[in-house]
Amino acid sequence: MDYAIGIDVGGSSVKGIVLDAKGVPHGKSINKPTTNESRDAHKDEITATTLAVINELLQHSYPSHETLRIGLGIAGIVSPDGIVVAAANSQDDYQGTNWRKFLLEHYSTKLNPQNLKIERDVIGGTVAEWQNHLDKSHGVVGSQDVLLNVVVGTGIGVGAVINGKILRGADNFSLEMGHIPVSYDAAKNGDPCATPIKGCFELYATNKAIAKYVRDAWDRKNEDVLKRHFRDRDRITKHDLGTLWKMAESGESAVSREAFSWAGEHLGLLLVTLIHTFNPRVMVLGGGVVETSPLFKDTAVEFAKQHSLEPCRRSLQFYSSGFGGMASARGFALVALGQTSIL
Amino acid sequence: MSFVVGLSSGLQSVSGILLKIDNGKFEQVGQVSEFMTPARREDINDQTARLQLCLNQLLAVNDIDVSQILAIGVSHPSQVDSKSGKIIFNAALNLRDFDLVNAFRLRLEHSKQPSIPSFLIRDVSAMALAERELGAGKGKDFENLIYVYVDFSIGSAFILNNGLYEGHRSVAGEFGNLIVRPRGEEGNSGLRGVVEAYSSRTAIAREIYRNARRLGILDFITGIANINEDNAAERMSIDLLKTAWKQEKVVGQIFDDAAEVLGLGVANLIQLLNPQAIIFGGELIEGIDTFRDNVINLAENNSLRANIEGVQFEKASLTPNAESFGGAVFAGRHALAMNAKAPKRHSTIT
Repeated sequence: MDYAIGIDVGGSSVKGIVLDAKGVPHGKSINKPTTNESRDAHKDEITATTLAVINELLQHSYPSHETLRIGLGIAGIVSPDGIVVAAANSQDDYQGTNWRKFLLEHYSTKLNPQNLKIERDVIGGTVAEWQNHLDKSHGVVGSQDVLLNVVVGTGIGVGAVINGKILRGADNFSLEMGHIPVSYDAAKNGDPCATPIKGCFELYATNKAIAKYVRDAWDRKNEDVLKRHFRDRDRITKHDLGTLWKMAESGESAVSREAFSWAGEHLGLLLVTLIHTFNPRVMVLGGGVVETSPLFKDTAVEFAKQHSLEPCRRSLQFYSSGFGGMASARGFALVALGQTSIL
Repeated sequence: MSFVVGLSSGLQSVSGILLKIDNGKFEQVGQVSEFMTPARREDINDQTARLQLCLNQLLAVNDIDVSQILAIGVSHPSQVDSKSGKIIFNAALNLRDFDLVNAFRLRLEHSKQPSIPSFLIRDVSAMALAERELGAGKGKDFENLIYVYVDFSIGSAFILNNGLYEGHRSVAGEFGNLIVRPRGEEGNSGLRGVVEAYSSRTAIAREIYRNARRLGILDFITGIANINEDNAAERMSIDLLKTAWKQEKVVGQIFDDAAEVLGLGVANLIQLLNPQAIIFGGELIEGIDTFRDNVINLAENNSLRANIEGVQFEKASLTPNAESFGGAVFAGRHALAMNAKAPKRHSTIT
């Protein structure tokens, strides 16, 4: 039986899984942070973490006698030949990294070039979610239905399956939703993100946006629970999402609850744009923020329902990701195995 | 030799075009036929009668026998479901989930004509198809194309992955209802802060009228009978709007503001769909070059470099007959696919 490693290289962590040709996991999946520091990761940290994940999977989960196949997903914009064109949530030195060359050199004795597939990260998750919803057990979508996969973590990734194929656009740069301004006023007067565009959704609906909201409210709200835990406002980062949600959920921190709700409304606004543009049948929501906070997801969905045209949302169904944080890695293993018809 | 007919089922007029199909390519035959009588409000029998008159005139003028017609495509404003051939909702005709294709078939039943497959398509989708095949995009093989319509209303249609994209229920492309100013002005749909509420001809003309009254600069609208805030767009011609722009600084400012919102909306579409080209259609954006240039400039400034590089901006070339052309192309493509034994999803005219 054929096997493949699926790897999801994110800004904060690298995730990996081994699947067999039937899509069944083999051994344990892995999730390693790219850096233990609060800053974005450097190129060397990202590549070293990726190799560590692949090596661990090879050692413990991948059958040694089988042909090596790797599907690799990269956060950011990636050229068709596997070079990082732009990646907002990592250090500048990461841009230009040639993943294809790097991996083929490193595994030169094991990896045949045709068995290495490299794509934008969100494509892997979309492959996995589409396959999941197409499966007879789920039966949610037909082969010609429209599915959108929205992933919210450090950045925002959106994948679309239309007319049975992944939407790539003219140059493989479609659905850059994280870098669309949330509003006309934000476009004129908002903060810039890593791109020249001001007021992007990434600054309003991601883990770093939630952390910034809480930091900005530090003096204004003067919450004891935050001060006791973090001591200094600048110590609150995107890595503290779980802690902030626990404080919000328990009712200890009203500011944290406000932050998740505020970010959820902005995600809802983004969903309205997607609904009016694509008139989809299925919308899957996943990623670290969605998985951490039900309030964030519920607020977004409710906002989208209230502010979208009825004909556009009629028969639209919202789902949570079927595979959580491993969706993208899982999808890339399927891509490497050739187990998808939508690419 | 085969022909296809495109009929534009507008509320002010009905028009039709005959296209010849040769090796999968379309070519216009004769002139556009048009009936200028406005539809009677809430009277669908009147609407199908106008379509029938237009079809018969088209056949008579071009001396074509009905047996030579491969398919008929009817384009219609408002929300339509091209998969079922139904109008989802049309406020002016008071229609909801109405099977226009079937109603047309019933009207023609008495003529004892041979069966002709017929199809319904949203007007803006028809415009996109027409411009791609026969208009501004002809010969350029755009696989990913956005058509942006800007006049009394604002809409869009997409060619994605080399095919017309209409969404799950054929209501994709609601560009006029993208929210760009949350809690802002209310648009026709009732949603607040949408592109159409700032950048349509209706919104611009209303704003000009309000400012003209407020500032007492009424020279350019003096002589327009019974003009008021609600009918300002219908009463102000494109030439008058151009004149007003030259005469009054405030009118230029209103157009600039409208271009800013529209440019941002177009940038959002570019980020979303990464197209090869954008074609602008509609009397307002085709007729006022400076307005269109400003929109393009603002769209470029609000897009990521990777997305905007290589995007071609074009002005539509088939207005005001693009709907008829597009209806014919849509019907022709479906009929050819059916002949190639694709699954049948159509009604027929007996």
